[in-house]
Amino acid sequence: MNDLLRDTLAERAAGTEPPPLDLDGIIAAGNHRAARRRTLGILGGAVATAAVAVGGASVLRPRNEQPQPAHPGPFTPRRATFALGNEIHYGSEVISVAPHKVTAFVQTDAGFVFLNADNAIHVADRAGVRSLGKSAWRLTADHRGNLVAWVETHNDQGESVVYDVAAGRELVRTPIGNKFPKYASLAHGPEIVALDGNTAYFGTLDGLYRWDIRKNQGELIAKVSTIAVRAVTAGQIVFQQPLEQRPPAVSLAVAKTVSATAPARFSGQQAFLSPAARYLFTETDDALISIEPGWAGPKLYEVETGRKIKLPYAYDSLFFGQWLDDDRFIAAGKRRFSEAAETDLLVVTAATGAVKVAVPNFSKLIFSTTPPRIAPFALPTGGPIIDLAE
Amino acid sequence: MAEATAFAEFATSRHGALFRYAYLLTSDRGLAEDLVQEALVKTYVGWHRLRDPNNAEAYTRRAITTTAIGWWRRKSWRAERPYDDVPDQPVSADDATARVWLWRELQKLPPRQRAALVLRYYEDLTEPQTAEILGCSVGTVKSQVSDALKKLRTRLGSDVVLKAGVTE
Repeated sequence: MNDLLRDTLAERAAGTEPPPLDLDGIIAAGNHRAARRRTLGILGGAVATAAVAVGGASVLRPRNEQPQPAHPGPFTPRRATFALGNEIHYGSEVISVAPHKVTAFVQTDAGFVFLNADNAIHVADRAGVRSLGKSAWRLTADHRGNLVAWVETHNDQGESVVYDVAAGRELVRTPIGNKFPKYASLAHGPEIVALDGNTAYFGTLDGLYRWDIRKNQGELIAKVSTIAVRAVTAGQIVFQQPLEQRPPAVSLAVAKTVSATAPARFSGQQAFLSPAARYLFTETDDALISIEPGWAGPKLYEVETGRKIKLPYAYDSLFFGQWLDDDRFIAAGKRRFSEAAETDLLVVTAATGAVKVAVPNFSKLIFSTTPPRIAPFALPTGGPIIDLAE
Repeated sequence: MAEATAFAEFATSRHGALFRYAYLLTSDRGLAEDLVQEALVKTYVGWHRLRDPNNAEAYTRRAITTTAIGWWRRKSWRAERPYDDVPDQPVSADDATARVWLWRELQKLPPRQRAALVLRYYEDLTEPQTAEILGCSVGTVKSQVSDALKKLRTRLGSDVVLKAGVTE
């Protein structure tokens, strides 16, 4: 028996995390190979044998770069969902991601994608947790589907990435528009503005790119700053108005195209459109804004009419989670007058602003005194709830 | 459809273990990923003959091993690579340095010997089980393991790290 040999092998094995399993690719390659064997069995002969040898290599790692059809996935239903520590609570189901701590996450039909304390990207589902070996500051997902997107930052450029969680592979990776100027300090880095069906919107340093994920090509549609456009859903774009201005830039327009003339009928910083773009929820970037100006605080609008929908007085801080459907969304609400900052997970009916408590006192809205000052819980928006202390 | 579902369950549940095995054989993540992918394709194609997941696991490991040996013969990944972090000599059996050293030396072994060591000392398989996966006799397994340990002892110094290497 040799303990050192065992220890060495066990240490090396434990130190390497398996990559995502490309099950679709394996099955496709297997079917392809089996079908060819049947064909070659009919053809026979030396020529056919040579074809196997050559063709075998070509199907070793098939790469279908198209997004997969939207079959219902294991996590297609959107439920009252939040993350607390190393657990993702999906309705009544708890998915452990230990030893990682979730700082930000999104839901896709195939599983949850989260950032840990080191900003490393992981996928969690009922089979376990796997690292994608990448890191990012925040994640972006659509209301439905298997796609997640992020920006990877390198020394000289950023890369916009779109990843198919179900297929376990990248569909898009492009540095377009994100070459960093030398000796420049960027106030706002590149972002993924939105995934909207088979279209991605990249907030690059050169402007807003609309990217066709199926064709893996895109076009610059507006020369605006990386934060000028806040959200895109069902083809409706939420952008600041005027287009060129410094933060906090809280006047927002919603239109099918980015223009300097669209009326600013809404107010807010972060924007969350409902799946059919019927309602708009907005909130500030800073979770604990110290002196509350008039524009601060969560707001809910009916997009077509611009009507402002009253939110419940019982909660003095409200943080958007995700849309359950076009009429309801989940949010975290800090109870007004609660000295312990007790926070409830809520289901909000958009048309009326009425709330139903899904999980009472699921966490506290408290922040550490040292950076990063993020809330102890996360909601599936792709970013942390953060006290910017500005 | 049922076969595809059963295979998917097998592949999903065993992918991590198979990848680690392939990684220990190759010490290269990319090669290990390709090996596992290729082996799982072979397993999928032959799934109707395997039926039992236990058979599937042994079959897949065998596919990984034989494919690795085939690639090793053809490709250049056996080429020695520089390791700046390796000290001149291992310090002691308890020291992490010894494990780093041993790992480097393991990579210099021929793949069949390395596979035999991994199957015996990491997977804890018996000699007959190891022989089944390597597709050889029990006697060959014994000689492969013995030769591998002898090489390691020679390279590393028997007093330092592999005193009990050949005993069971």
